[in-house]
Amino acid sequence: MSASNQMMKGLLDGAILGLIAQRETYGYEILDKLKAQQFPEISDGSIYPVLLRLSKKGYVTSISKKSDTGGPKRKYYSITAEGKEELANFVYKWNYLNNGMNNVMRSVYDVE
Amino acid sequence: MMLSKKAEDFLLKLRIELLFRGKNENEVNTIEEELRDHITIAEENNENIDSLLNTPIKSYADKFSTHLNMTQGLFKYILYFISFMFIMTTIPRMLDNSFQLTIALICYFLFIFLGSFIFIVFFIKKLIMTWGDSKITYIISGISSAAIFGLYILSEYLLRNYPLFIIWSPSQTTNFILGLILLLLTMLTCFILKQKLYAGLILLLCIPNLIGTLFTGGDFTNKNYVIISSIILLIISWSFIIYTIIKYYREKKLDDPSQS
Repeated sequence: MSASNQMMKGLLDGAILGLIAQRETYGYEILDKLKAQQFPEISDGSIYPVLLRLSKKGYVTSISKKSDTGGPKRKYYSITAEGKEELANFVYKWNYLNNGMNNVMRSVYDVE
Repeated sequence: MMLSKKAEDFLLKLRIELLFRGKNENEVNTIEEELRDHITIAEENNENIDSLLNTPIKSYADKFSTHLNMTQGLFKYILYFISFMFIMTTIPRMLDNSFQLTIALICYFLFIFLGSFIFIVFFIKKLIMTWGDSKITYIISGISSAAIFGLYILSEYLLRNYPLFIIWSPSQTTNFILGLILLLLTMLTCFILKQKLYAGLILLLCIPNLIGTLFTGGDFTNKNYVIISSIILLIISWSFIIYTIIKYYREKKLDDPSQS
């Protein structure tokens, strides 16, 4: 996996965790919000392996609820205490990285 | 709500791929349910989800695979399965006095009975992964199952006429008593393991021979023995076929509310 792909994978984990932290939500709604926020390289289906990974790590919990419209059961996710801690770590590292990268890129743009 | 055929095929293929990797069935069900919910909403909104449905199944399954638990006691189930297959080939033979431990019987069990079963499972998986839930899958599955059934009949003929080497040839009484004891032990084990279905299945397989013996006093050369056991076998087979057809139509009716 290339460095940019690794980076995107890590960012998607953090973004999804951030959305779940806001309120209890489900797969389709998460994808909808990511698309609305123009999160790059996101496609249908790409979030489900991430949700499974977050769930296995104990960062989120899920509960299946019956659909009101007679459709299949819907799986709702909420963040756990460990998830909140991980999100705080992610936000700290993201700000740190973002700041550093912006500074480096600004000097690159100056040269150009 | 019914999904499009392409979506159903995608879910079916993903499910089969994960189950074949020995992943826990409950976890696979949960993933399928979640994806089904996603696709249902997307199709209701007329969204294009080809990016998901065109994802190669193996690479998509890889993404889930590492995070899913393996089925607990997988090897135990494989052992149960092999034992059950062995019992299925042995007990009915003992009860109709045709059991002889021969090299041909061992080869038959290993290569024909067990081998063909494993082959057909993998072959059907390949068919589903190629054509999904379609007519051609059913037709090829039907033809290959019939071919394998033919192979069983041919093997049965070869087994009786060309034993290769006889290791043990028990007497009629030994065969019957041993068969009866093994049958009861197997059923008891199935009950202990909470597998009542298998207890019923092995009993159904042996009932024609048992009733035949009961009515002819254990004379396996008696013409009536063959007639009685064949009639019982036919009754059981037809009852099973009729039950399956009725069950299929009942489920179909339940799935399609417009028909009710």
